[in-house]
Amino acid sequence: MTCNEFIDFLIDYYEGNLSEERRRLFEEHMGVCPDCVAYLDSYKKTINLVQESMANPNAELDDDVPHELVMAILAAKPK
Amino acid sequence: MEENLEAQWVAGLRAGDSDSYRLVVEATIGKLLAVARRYLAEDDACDAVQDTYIKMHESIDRFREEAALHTWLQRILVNECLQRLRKQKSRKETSIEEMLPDFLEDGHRANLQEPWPESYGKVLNRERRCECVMENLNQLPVTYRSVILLRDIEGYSGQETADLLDISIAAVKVRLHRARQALRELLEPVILENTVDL
Repeated sequence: MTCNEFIDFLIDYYEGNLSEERRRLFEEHMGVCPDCVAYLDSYKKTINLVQESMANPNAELDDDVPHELVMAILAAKPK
Repeated sequence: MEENLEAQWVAGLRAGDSDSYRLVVEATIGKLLAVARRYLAEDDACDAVQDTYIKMHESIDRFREEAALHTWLQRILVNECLQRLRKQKSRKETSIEEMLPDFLEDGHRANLQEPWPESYGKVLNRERRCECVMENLNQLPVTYRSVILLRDIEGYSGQETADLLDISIAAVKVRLHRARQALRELLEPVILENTVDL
């Protein structure tokens, strides 16, 4: 398996969807290619970073909602 | 939202009751606006939220109580946001190809891959890190950004994402993988350059 093929199969490996044979080849490649090991690790960390950053504890506070928006929505209620 | 309370509000909405409408808006607007802000700039996000409540009012008779009201509202909102993003698509965007890793003709890497430190989740302070992820996410072409938002952030399944974007599940997978790779590439300098002081 080349590094390019490794990348092609990475999402299936990450999601646990690789066949046993492909997974064996994938893991064999990791055994000889530290760059691909580092790439897989940073791919997972990217996803973690996005999820952690977007779970912003301040994002849903009511005082973060412009009062004018609430008033406009209530005023626009169809009759 | 408590189940019984929600049932009362839905009944009120169906009867055109203004108090129920206000209570639903007050209970859900914080979450909806937070979601809309992930997709759109402030003014568009506010407009999308406003249109969501109009659509809620228009289609409350079609709401099936199998889903929670806020889940149904969020789906209406995400559709609104995606429609607005599609309209923005004509704006000049960087090609995703430029953000993907390079390979030699023999399929091996063109560049060495530097490992990310275990302290990657502590680079910058939380607020700045969140801004930084958002800024880089916004650099992705809309078709790719939408898939990350839906799959990795909102948590929609492959099928739900395919339905929302009107593409196949296979296309969702390809776009998601490319989008993650591109975002990884964009975030890498931030992670590596800001780790030294940790």
